[in-house]
This record gives sequence, C-alpha cells and structure tokens, in this order.
Amino acid sequence: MNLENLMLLSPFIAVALASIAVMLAATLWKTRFPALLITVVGLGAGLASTGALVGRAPAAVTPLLLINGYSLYFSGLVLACSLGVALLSMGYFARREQGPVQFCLFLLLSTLGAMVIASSSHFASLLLGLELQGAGLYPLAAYARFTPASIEAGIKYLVPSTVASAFLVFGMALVYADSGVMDFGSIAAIGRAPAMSLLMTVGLLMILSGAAFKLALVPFHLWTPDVYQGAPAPATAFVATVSKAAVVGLLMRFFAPFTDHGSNAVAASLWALAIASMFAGNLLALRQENIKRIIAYSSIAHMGYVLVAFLCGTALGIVSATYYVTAYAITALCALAVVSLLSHAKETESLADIRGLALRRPLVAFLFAVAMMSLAGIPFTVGFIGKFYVLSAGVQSRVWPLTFSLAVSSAIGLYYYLRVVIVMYRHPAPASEKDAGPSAMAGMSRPLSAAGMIALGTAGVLLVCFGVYPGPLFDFIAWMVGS
Amino acid sequence: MLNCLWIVIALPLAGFALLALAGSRMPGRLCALVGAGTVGISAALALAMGVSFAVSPPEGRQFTQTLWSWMSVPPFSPEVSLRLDPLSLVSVCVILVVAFLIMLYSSEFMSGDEGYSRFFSYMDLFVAAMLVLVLANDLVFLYLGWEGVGLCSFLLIGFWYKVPKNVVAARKAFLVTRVGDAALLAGIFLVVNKLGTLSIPEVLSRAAVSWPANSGAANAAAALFAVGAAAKSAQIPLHVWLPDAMAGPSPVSALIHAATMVTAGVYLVARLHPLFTLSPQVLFGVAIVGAVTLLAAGLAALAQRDIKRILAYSTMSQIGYMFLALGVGAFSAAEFHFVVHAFFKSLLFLGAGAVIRGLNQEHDIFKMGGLRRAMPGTFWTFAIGVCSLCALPLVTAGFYSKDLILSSALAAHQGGIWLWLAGVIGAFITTLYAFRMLFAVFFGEVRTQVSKGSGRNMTLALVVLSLFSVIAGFCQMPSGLGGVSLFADFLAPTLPQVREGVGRLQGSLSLVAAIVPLVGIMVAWTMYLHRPRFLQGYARLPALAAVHGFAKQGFGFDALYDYCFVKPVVYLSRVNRRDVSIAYVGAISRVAEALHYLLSMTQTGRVRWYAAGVGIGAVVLIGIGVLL
Repeated sequence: MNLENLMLLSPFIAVALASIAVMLAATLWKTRFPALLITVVGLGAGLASTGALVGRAPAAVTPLLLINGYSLYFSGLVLACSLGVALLSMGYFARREQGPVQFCLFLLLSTLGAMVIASSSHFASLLLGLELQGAGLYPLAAYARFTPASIEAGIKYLVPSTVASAFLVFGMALVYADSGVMDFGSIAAIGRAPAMSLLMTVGLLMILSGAAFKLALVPFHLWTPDVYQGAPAPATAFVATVSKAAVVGLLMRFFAPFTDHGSNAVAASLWALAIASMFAGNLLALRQENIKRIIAYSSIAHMGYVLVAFLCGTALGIVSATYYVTAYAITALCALAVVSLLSHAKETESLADIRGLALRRPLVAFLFAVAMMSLAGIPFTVGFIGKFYVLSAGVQSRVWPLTFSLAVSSAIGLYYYLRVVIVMYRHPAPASEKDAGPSAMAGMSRPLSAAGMIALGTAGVLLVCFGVYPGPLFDFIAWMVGS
Repeated sequence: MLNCLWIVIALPLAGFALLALAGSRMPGRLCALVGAGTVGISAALALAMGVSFAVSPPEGRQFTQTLWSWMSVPPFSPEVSLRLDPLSLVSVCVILVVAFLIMLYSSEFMSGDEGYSRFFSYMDLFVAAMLVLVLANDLVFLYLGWEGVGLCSFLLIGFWYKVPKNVVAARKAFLVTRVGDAALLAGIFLVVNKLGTLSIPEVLSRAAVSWPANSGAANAAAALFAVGAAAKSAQIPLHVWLPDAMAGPSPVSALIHAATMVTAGVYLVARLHPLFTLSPQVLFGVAIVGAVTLLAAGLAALAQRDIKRILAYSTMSQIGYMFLALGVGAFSAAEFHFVVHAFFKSLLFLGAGAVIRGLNQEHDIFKMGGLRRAMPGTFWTFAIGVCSLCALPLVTAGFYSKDLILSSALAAHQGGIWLWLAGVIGAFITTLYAFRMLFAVFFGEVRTQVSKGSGRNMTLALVVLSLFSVIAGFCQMPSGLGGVSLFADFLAPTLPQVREGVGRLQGSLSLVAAIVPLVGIMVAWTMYLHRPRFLQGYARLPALAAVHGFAKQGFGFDALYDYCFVKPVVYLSRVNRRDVSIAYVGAISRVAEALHYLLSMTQTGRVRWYAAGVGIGAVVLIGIGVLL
C-alpha cells in the first residue's frame, strides 16, 4: 500500500473518517449540529476527491478494488445522493424524538458500502460492500423506532435480504468451485467463451438473484412497498437512490460480458426480469393511494427500464442505462424530498394528505408535479431524455420485445403519475371534523426546513436543466463510462 | 453584437418565470415594469442588432447561433439553434416593437384587473414563444414555438376564465388550430423521414436537390405545411376560431390575433418558400385560399356590429392578401404587408380597446357614436389606422404594401388577372367596412357617454403605432412613384425579388387599384353617414336581409362544422355510450385494474412469504438456466 494507492482510496477514506468522527461527536456533544456538519463535510470531501481522481483512473488498488471512470461515476452519484439525503434528514429529524446523529452514522456507513460495491472487482470486496451497505440500511429503515411501521420495515428488509444474501454467497461459491477464480476480470473471460458449464450458470444465476433483490426486480420485489412505506422518508430516499445506483453499477460491470451474445441463460433471465418488472411495477402502482408505495412500485418499473438499455449490449446502451439511473436518482430524490419536507408529526404519505397542495405550497407542489412528470417521461424533464435514450438504444439494437414492453408499460404508468398531479391541483377536501384541529392547520403553514429546501431545489433545478440541456451530462457519462 | 441573439429570447422568458413564481406577491407597477421592461430591452437589443446587421452584414447575410443539441441520435438530433437573416430580423424587430407598445398600453388598460400579474406573465411567455418560432433554425424548435404561441393564445383568450363563454372560445381556438398543428407535425415527420434532417436550411437545400418539382413528396410536404399555416393564420376553411377569439382582452387581440401569431402561417410559408416553389399546385392553392378568404372575410366584416369582430374579420381578410402574395410567389410582398399590417391592425385593436373601455364594455358600434369630440386622440389615431387599412393612396403605408401585392398578382403565371380582380374588389369591401366602422363610432350623434378616458401610456402607444402606420410604407414604393425598394432589397438574399408588372396595361390597372379606395370612401359616406335611410330601405328586403344574416354568421361555417363534426361526434358518443368500442377501450383499463388487484394479492405483508418469494424467484431463474 503506497501513497498512490492511498490517494486512489481517498473518497473511501473521507467517508470512513467522517463516520468515526460522527461517533466521537455523538459522545462529546449532545446537540445534533456537529454530527450533521461532519456528515455533510465528509460526503462533500468524498465527492471532491472522487472528482479529483478522474485524471488518475483507471487503476487497480489491490486485487479487490478497481478505480476507473465507471466506478468513479457511480461513486460520485452515490455520494451526491447521500448528500441530498443528509440534507433532508436535518429538517426531518429536528421534529422527532430521535435526533439525526445515529442516522448520520448509518448513512455514512451505508454510503461507504455502496461505494465499495460500485468499485469492487472481486467477490470478497463485493460481499464486503454489500454487507456494509446492508448493515447500515436495516437500521436506517427501522430508525423511527417508536413507530411500529418503521420497525416492521426494518424486519421486512432484513429477513428477505438475508435470504437473498445467502443465494448470492452460495452463487459465488459455485462460481469459484467451477472456475477457481474470484476476480471479475477472470470471470468476464469465462463469460466471453462460447460455452459455459451448468455449475457456472447456476452460480451466476444465484448471484443475479441476490442483485435482483437489491434492485427489487420482479419477483424479488415483494419487500419494496412495505419498506418504502414504513421507513422514515429520508431513509426511503436513500434506499431508492443510493442502494439502487450502486447495485446497477455492479450489475452492469459484472454481467456485461454475459449479455453480449444474447442467447445464454443469464441474458434470458435478465430479459424475463426486465419485462416482468416493467409490467408488474406499473400495474401494482395503478390504484395505490399511498405516495411512498407509489414511488416504491414505480422504482420497480424504472429498474426494468434500466435493464432494457443494459440488455442492448451496445456502448449506447450502457451510457443510456447510466444516464437513466442518474435521471431516476435525481427524480426520486426530488419526489421523496417533498414527502420528507411535508411530513410533520406523522408521515405525509396518502394522496388525501396532498390534496390541494398547490394552493397551500405552490412551489413545492410544482416541484412534485415536475418530479412526477419526469417519472412519467414528459418532455423537458430529465426523465424524458433518459427514456428517449433508452428507447433509441433499444431501437438501434432491435430488441423489440423489450422496447415494446417499455412503451406499453410506461403508458400504463402515466395514469398513476398524473393522478398524483391532479390531486395536488384540486381544491382541498372540505375539512373533516378530525383533521380540522389547530395542529393540522399549524402543519400547513409551518416553515419548511431550509436544508431540505436546498436539496429539493437543487434536485428540481437539475431535473429541468438536464431535461432541456442534456448534452453535457450525456457526453460526460459517455466519456466516464467509455474510458 | 449578433452573439447576443439568445438574450432576445431569454429576457421575456426570464420575465415570465419571475412573474409566474413571484408575480402574485409583487405590486402591480412592478409587474408591469418586469413584463414590459423585459420586452422593451429585448426590442432595443433587436433594433441594435438590426442596425449592426444592416451596417456590417455577416458573411452570407445570415447568422446562425447553435446553442446546443437537445438530444442526439443521428439522424435525429433536434438543435436549439437560432437563425438571423433579413427575414427573421424584420419579423423579430416588428414583433418586439409592437409587443412592447402593446404592453405599455396594457399597463394602463389592464390596471385594476385581478389577474394583472398573470396577464403580464402570459404575455411575456407569448413573446418568448413567438421569438422561438421566428428565429428557429430547426423544425422541432420551430414546432416548440408554434405550440407555445398556441398555448398562450389559449390561455389569453380564456384570460377572464370565470365567464364560461370565454373558456369555450379558448377551447375552440385551441382545437381548430390543432388540426393545422397535426398537419404541420405530419409535414415535419415526412421531411425527417425523406430528407433525414431537421435543420431548416439543410431541409431546403436537400429538398431542392432530391425532390423534382411537382413530385409527390414535395407536393405532400408543401400541402401539409400549407394546412398548418392556414389553420394558424385563420384562412378558410380553418378560420372559424378567430372571431370567437375576440373574447380575450383587447391588447391580446392586438398582439396575438392581429399582429403576430396569426401571421405565423405567412412566416412559415415564407421561411420554407424553396419547398413551396417545388410545388406550384400547392402554391396556387394558397393563392386561391387567400383570394377567397379576403373576399369572404371582408363581406362578413361588413355585416358585423361588434367592433372587435369587425376587426377580426378584417384581420382574416388582410392575411388573405398575404396568402395571395405568397401564392403568386411574391414572398417579400407578403412579408411587407405583414409588417405594415402589424402596425395598423394593432393600432386599430388598441383604439377599439380604448373605446370599449371608455364606454364601459360596449362592443356594438351602433350604440357608440359621436366619439370624435369626446376622445380626440383615439379618433385621430384610429382614423389613421383605418386609412392605412383601406390603402389610401400615397399617404399611408397600407397603400404601398397592397399595391405591391396587387401588381405582383398581375404578373403571376396563372390566373393573374382574376387574382388581381379579387384583390381590388376586396380593397373596395375593405374600405366600406372600415369607414362604416369609423363613421358609426366617431361620427353621428352621441349615443353613449364616455365614462373613462385614456391616459398617457395608452395614448403614447396609439400615437407611435399610428406614426409607423404611415411611414412604414416609404421604404418600398412602386416604380411609378420613385421606385424605392429598400425593403425588398434588404430581404433579397433570403426571399426572391418581386416580379412587378410593367407596361401600359399594368400602369392603368394600378391606377384603378389606387382609385378604388377613394370610390369606396365616397360610397361608404353616402351609405352610412349622408343617407342612412337609403340603406335601411334595402335592408328590409327579405332576400338582402337573409344575405346579411348569412354574412353576419360568417357564412355559416360554424353551423356547418357544428353539423358535420360536432353533432355527429356528440351523437355517436351518445349512441355508443354502451357500445362495443367503449367496451373494449374500457376493457384495457379494466384488464389493467384487474391485473393490479391480482398482483396486489401477492403483497401479503407477511415476512415469510417475502422470503419465500426470493427463494421462488431464484428457483425460477435457475430453472431457466437449466432448461436453456
């Protein structure tokens, strides 16, 4: 381990140091401010050092980690999303029994895990990253421990996740048993060979099952709505953005060699997962009344769209998939920031809660509407551009079943996205006897957290900017991922 | 200097954003300042660019500013790209100057309205969209502007949305122009598919190379664009929306439904003229449509009582002249008439607005009267506008632009004399209805007292516009009268020079055309002012009364469309309420919903089922692997 390697690890080191500092700060000061400051600074330093490394890539740090444009891009995305979540948590936990201090700790650890996943080039580091990320994620989901729903969310994430991890590890073992290698480079070489042994195939499919669980692809999606709903809103935002982005990065790196020639079992499984996810995700969200569950189901469908681009097996496909993940992360962060900001004593999560929001908080309602339109893929939002590139990659590679499924299922999806927008722009329901109390009225007019507004505003601005002027981001991704 | 082109669009857009976000919390004066100020600065910038363009023209007398490419999957790569050439420069300057004056006028006209900031934000958005439409160098970008102005038109016609009639009018305008939008979109698809590019200059040059004249593709593309243009410019048979669009505030009618948006069709044809010259048949069709519209709309205007409806029909009729000019290949004559028309017609609308406001929302010209004394400023400026509309020889701008159109119609290859005749008869009708309106409103006995006079801003706008309505003509004069051709020369690299008829016959016919308005004034004076009884006697004849009623209803187009389109659709939907088509369209949503509930049953909420789900999924995947 020389200095050069330490430099390459600096983003990891920054986040790890920040998590230790948060632990120390929690014992030294009783207030929440130092911990939050350390978190934001740590994540910011991680982001900055990721940016500084762009010129040095690609380089391998031990056999475990590979720092290249691709991993740097995903690490950066993960860090930026994490930063957004940290800002959201500031306002969110200011009004609750637990402070945000431990939340920050879990957030940092989980982010570190996500970065390791995105950069891993070996089974050992992948497993390490996944477990580190998971170890942070379960407490994040269960963080509001005085509400039963949150505890339930933690359990519902922990138990199936353990099962999925078991499959993953067993898959790794099978691959190792068959080939005797554990680093991605050697496995990719096997993937490029024309024939594959059954043991290898089964092992790879088990690994795929584990990854599909993290991405909530159908039929590994059952946990998603309950966890999204029960977890505190910033934790939901974390699950929706950070953990998704990291695993997509891994999926594309690890499985890309197996999808080049689309006739093998891995590619066929991915096709099935993609089509099932697109349809099931959108259909499940149709008549849903809970916003967090809507976002959960829609995330299932969106991961299906990402797979469409990935399965094209072309350079445009990979770039489009990366663009789509970025677009989705920005949009999901924007949408969940609204949920998080509006949540007061109890979570704002049913459609009835946001009825008439446009009259009370026009700006927030507008940004939420824009986020919904971006999810639906309406022009001048980043979601539209993402979908456009995914579709054009699909058309270029002539993967008609996937392209067709994408078109049909996103048409179904329009219904529930626009429903949310319509509800917000309707007149508020006549106040029922229960809600009309003074506390409900106070909740409507209370000022929103400044840090949360910064996160929401940034996401909203990016969402429109990249929808109108997507060129630079697209070129940047093409340059990073291509190099 | 020319690199500032994008700022011209960005300023009104920024004004819109500011007013839309914070307008409701800003004092009214500030709203007007932001609204009119952004347009005013843009106008100044555009004029400065015009001067710099004229003094030191860029290479090739055109300047393209490509800001960025929206998406790029070759060959489909729509670009945000602006093109400044003499054609777009003239249009931009006219649009901005007129828009600024109208917004200055509105700052007073709209004062006290509860939607004051909303009004200015829409107007700013409109100006930005109109500039996009005019400056676009790319068909998709042009389409964005095209739809943007359509949206603003919808919003502003229905500005006073609490009156249901206004909302119906807004919807009608939106739906009818949509027919044309669909045709335009189809035309763009055709062009992209056949020529593989979206950039307008590229489209035009490739079309000239790969499409022979009169070929099917050229005809189809030109016809589709022509339908789009006709719907936007309210030409028969897609004109029915314009008279109803007068439900909006008068400044809106002046800006959108007289000076700028309705002439977008003319601009589109002029912009794409090399494509149209490949298809002489379509071009001839455009001329015929123009001739028919100018006559029919003129007659309809003669039968109206509502001052704004008179002006609306008059606008259709004048745009008919522009289409006539386009149809005979005199593109710069059409553009010249667009410029002049923008000045005098917005002047007339603003004058009408001042009168309507002064008389407490009275629209009927026969309930007005004798306003000459009560509103002298409005009277004189309105009279100048009327004279320019009637093309009073030598002293008005309208004369020079209309003369150019008529003389180039005469020189046309096909049916020149008939088109010329239509134009001259139209000019006669124009004079009749215009002076009928002038006499009824400002002469005769006082029927309604003025309750509110016009203030400084309104009068200033009227005076400046009336000045332009006179002097704008002097930059293009026929060969018999000094032969100035500054305007056509300036446009020459972009639009072909106008062929003017020369010879003794043409000379004498021009003289006839010049005298027609004078005769018209005499007739109008006799009929409406000197001996009104004479006309009333005839009006009692049943045949004439029927014709009058028919013309008043706009020749029954509304009834016809109601009968042909609206009624059948309503009838069919009523019959079909429980019919097959509904059943299987509904089936899609019912199937989706059923699937939703079916899938929802898997969400049991039980952890052991979730864990089992992971296992089942893995087994299925492995099954796929083993079987393959």
